[in-house]
Amino acid sequence: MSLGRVMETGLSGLYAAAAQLSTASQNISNAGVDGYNRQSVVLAANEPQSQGRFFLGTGVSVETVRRVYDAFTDQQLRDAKADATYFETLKSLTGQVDAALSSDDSSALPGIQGLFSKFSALAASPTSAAARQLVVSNANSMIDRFASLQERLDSIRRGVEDGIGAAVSEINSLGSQLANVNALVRQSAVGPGRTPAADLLDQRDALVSKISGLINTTVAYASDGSATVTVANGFTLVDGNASSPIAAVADPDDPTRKVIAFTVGNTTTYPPDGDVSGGRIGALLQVRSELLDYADGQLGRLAVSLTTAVNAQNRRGADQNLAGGQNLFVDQTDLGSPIGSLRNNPNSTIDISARVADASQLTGLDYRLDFDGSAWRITDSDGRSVTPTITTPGGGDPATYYSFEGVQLALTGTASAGDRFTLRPTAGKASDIALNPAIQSDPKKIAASAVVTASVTSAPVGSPSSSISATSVSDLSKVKGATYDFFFNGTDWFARRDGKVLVPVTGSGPFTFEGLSVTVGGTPASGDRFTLSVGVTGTSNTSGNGSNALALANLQSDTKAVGGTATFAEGYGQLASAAGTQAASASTGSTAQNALVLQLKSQQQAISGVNLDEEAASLLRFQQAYQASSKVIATAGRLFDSILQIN
Amino acid sequence: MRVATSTIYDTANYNIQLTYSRVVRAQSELASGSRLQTAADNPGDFAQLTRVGQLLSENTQYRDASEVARNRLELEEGTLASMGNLTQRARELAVQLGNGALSTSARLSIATEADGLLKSLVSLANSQNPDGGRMFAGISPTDAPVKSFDVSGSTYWYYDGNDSPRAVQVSSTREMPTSSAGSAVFFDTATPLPGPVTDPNGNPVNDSVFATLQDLVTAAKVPAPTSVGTQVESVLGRLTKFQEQMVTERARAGAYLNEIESIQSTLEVSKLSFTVLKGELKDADLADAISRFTQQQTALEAAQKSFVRVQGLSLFNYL
Repeated sequence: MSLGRVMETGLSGLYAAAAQLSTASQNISNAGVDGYNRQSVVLAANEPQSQGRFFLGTGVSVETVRRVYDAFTDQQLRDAKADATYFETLKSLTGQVDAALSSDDSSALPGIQGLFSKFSALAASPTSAAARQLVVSNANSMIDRFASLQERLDSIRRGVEDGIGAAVSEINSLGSQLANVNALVRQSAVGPGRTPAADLLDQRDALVSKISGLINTTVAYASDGSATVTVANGFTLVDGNASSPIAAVADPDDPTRKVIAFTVGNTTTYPPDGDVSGGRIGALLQVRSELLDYADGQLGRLAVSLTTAVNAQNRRGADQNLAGGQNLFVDQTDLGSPIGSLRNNPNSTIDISARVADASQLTGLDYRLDFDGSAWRITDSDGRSVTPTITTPGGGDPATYYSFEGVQLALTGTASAGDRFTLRPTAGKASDIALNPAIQSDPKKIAASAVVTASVTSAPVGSPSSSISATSVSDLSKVKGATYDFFFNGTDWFARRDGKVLVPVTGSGPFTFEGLSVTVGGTPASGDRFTLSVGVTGTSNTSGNGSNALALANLQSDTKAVGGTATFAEGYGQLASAAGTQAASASTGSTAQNALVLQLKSQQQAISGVNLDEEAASLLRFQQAYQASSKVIATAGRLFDSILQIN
Repeated sequence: MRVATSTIYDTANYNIQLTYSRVVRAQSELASGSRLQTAADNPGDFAQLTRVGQLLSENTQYRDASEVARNRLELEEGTLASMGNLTQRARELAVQLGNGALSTSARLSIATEADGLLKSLVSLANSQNPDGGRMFAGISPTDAPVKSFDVSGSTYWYYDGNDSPRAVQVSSTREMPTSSAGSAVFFDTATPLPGPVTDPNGNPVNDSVFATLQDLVTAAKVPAPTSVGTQVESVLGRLTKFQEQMVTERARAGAYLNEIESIQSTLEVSKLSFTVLKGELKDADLADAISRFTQQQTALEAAQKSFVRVQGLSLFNYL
C-alpha cells in the first residue's frame, strides 16, 4: 500500500464528484428546455488491486452519463402530441367554416328569406313599382351573401392548399436535419463500449416528434442510435444519414389541388387515398375532402336549385307588360365539362359536357367517372357507385346521354381504358348567381301574374319528310320551357328542352310531354326535326293578378326543393349543422387530446423531467462528496509531509 | 411520486387556459344573450332553429299580407257604404218624381241632382287602392273598370274590368279575395239592355246602376209628365236590385274582415310560440350563464393564486 494510491483514490472521487456536479448543473440549466431528458452520472468502483492475500480498492470512475428515459412512455407522448396537432388544425379550420356558415352576418339564410318575403309582398301588390324594386334589391343582397360565403370558403381552401405546401417543406427540412443528427449520433457511438451522446439523442427524438406532428410516421431505431423514419404508410423519409424529400404536387386527377407525392429515381408515386393521415397534413386533407368539398357542393346545390326553381316559375308567368316571363336569374343549368385527368390517354377523343337535368334531385356531391374499356363507372364522393340511365337518341345527335341524380352528361368521341374524369357539378356555383340583366334594369319584367292560356307553335328545322299537324297545350302547369326541340331518330320521337333529353315519346301519337300535345302527320324519317315554341296568349287585363308571384313565394315551402327532401331553408340548415357537427367534434377531440397530452407529458416528465429541488439536493450532496475527496487528498498530503519530516 | 418542475408549469398553464376559455365562453353568452352562437354549439338545435326561423319569416309575410287585405277590404266596405247612401238618395228622388205634381224647375233640379249622383257613383266605382289598384276591377289593375260610350245621343255604361278577384295569401291555406268584380256588383249580367248595342269590347251592354240613374235623369227631364209613372216604377225596381247587390258585397267584405281578424290573432299566437321556441333554442340562460361565469371566475382566481404559491416553493430559496 502506498500513499500515492490514497491520493489517486481521492482524486478519482474528486473527478467523479466534479462530473456529478457538472451533470447536475447541466440538468438545472436545461430544466426549461422542451424535449430535454434529465441525465445522471453512473459511477462504478474501480477494479481492486491484488495485495497478495487481499485486494485494495482503487477509487471510483464515471461509467457513463445516462439519459433517464423510457422508450414506451416517450412513444405514447409522441403519438398523443401528433394527434393533438391533428385536432388543433382540424378545430381551427372547421371552426372557421362553422362561423362563416352559421353567423347571422354571413349566413345565406336571411338573404333567401328576404327574397321570398318580397315575392310574397309582390303577390299582394303586383302593380306596385316599389314592390318590384324590392324583389330586385333583395335578390341582389341574397346574391351578395351567397358570393361572400363562397369567397370565405375559397379563402379557407387557399389556406389549406398553402398549409399543405408549407407542411411538406417543413417535413423535408426536419428530415434533412434528422439525417444530420443521425450522422452525429453514429459518430458519438463509435468505439468500444461507447454509448451515443445523451444530448444528441434528445435532439433526434425532438425532430422525430416534430415530423410526426405533421404526418403519419413510423420510427425504427438502429443499434447505433440512428432513427429511420417512414411517412405516409411506406415512404422512407430518413434512413441513417440519408434523407429523401417528399413533394406537394398538383393532383394529376385534378390539377387545381395539391397532393403528396414521392419521387424515387424517375418514378413519381402518389400514395392512395387514406395513406396520408394524421398530424397537420392529415387534418388539412381531411378538412378539404370532408368539409370544404362538401360545403362547396352543398352551397352550390342550394344556389342551383333555388335559381332553377325560381327561373322555371318566373318563365311560367306573365310580366307587367303582359309578355311571357323569362329567367329571373342567369341560368345555372350548364355545369361545364368535368376535369380530365392528366393521366388520360392523349389519343382519347372523348368529350363530356354536363348540365342540370332536374335541379331538385342534385346531391351536391362530386363524382368520379372511370372508363374501364367498355363502360363508364361512376362513383360519388361518398364512395357509392351510381348507375346512370343511358340514352342514345341518334337521329343526327352524336351524343350518348348519361343521366343520374339530377345531372345529365353528354358524351361524344371515344375514350380509352383508364380514362378518368372528375365532376364537381355544383361546386362554386354559389359565387356564380347573378340576376338576369333584363330584370335588373326593368323590374316590370318580373312575372308576377299567371298566364291564363298559352299556345304552342311548330317550325320545321331543315326539310323534314313528316309534318306536325296539330299542337296544343294540354296542361299549362306542366310546361317548363319556352322552346322544345322535337326530333325523330328512326324509331322514336324525342323531345329536348334546355339541352335535356326527355324520355322518348313512343307510339304513333299524339305525343304528350310536359303538358304539351303534338300530332305528327306524314311518314317520319330519321333526322326529322321541329322547333316547338310555347307562347303566352290570353293574359290581357290580368297584370293585377299576383298568382305567379305567389307561386314564386310558395317555392320557399316546397319540401322537395333541395335534393327532393328539403326546403331551401332546411337545405341550408342541413349544411350549417353538418359543418357545425364537424367543428363540434373537432373541438371536443382537441380538448380531450390536450388533456391526454398533459397527462402523458406528466408521466414522461415524472421519469425524464428535471426537478429543481432534487437537483438542489444533489448539488449539496455532490459538493460534500467533492469536499470529502479533497480532504482525502489533503490527508494524504499531510501524511507525506510527516514522512518527509522523519529525516 | 416524482414530479418534474416543468409539470408544475404545464399543469398550471393547462388549467388556467381551460378555465379562462370557460370564463370567456360564459362572458360571451352573457354579452351576446345567445348560447347558440354558431352551429357547432349545438348542431341539432341549429337545424331546428333554421326551421323555426323560416316559419317566423313566413308568419311575418302572412301578417303583412293580411294587413294589406284588411286595408283594402276596409276601404271597399267604406266605399260601398257611401255608394249605398247615394243610391238611397236616388231612390228618394225617384219617389219624388213619381208624385207627379211637380213643377218643371223642380223636375229639372231632380234631374240635376240625379246626374250628380250618377257621376259620384261612377267615380266611386272606379276607386283606387293606395297601391294604385282598382277596387272593383277584379285582377285588372290600373284602368277604370266602369266606362261609358255614346251611341246616337245616348250614353251607355259597360264593365271593362276582370271577373276574377285579386287574391292575397293571408295564411298557408287561405287565399282571400281583396277586390270585387264590378260586373257582379253594379251590373246585372242577366239583363242586356234593349237595342243592337255592343260595347267597344264587342260584348252586349248589360243593365247597371248607372243605366238606372241615367234613366232617372232622362225621366226627370221629360217636360210632359204623362208616362213617368212606369219609368219611375222601373227605376225603383232596378234600384232595389242593385242596392241588394251592393249590400251583399258589403256584407261579404265585412265577413272577410272578421275572418282576417281571427286569422291575424292566430298568426299572433303562432308568432308568439315560434318566438318562444326560438328563444328556447338560442337565448342564453342568463341565470345559468351568470352562475357559470362566477364559478369559473373563482376557479380561475384559485388556479392563479395557487400557482404563484407553488412556484415559490423552491429549495434554492434556502441555499
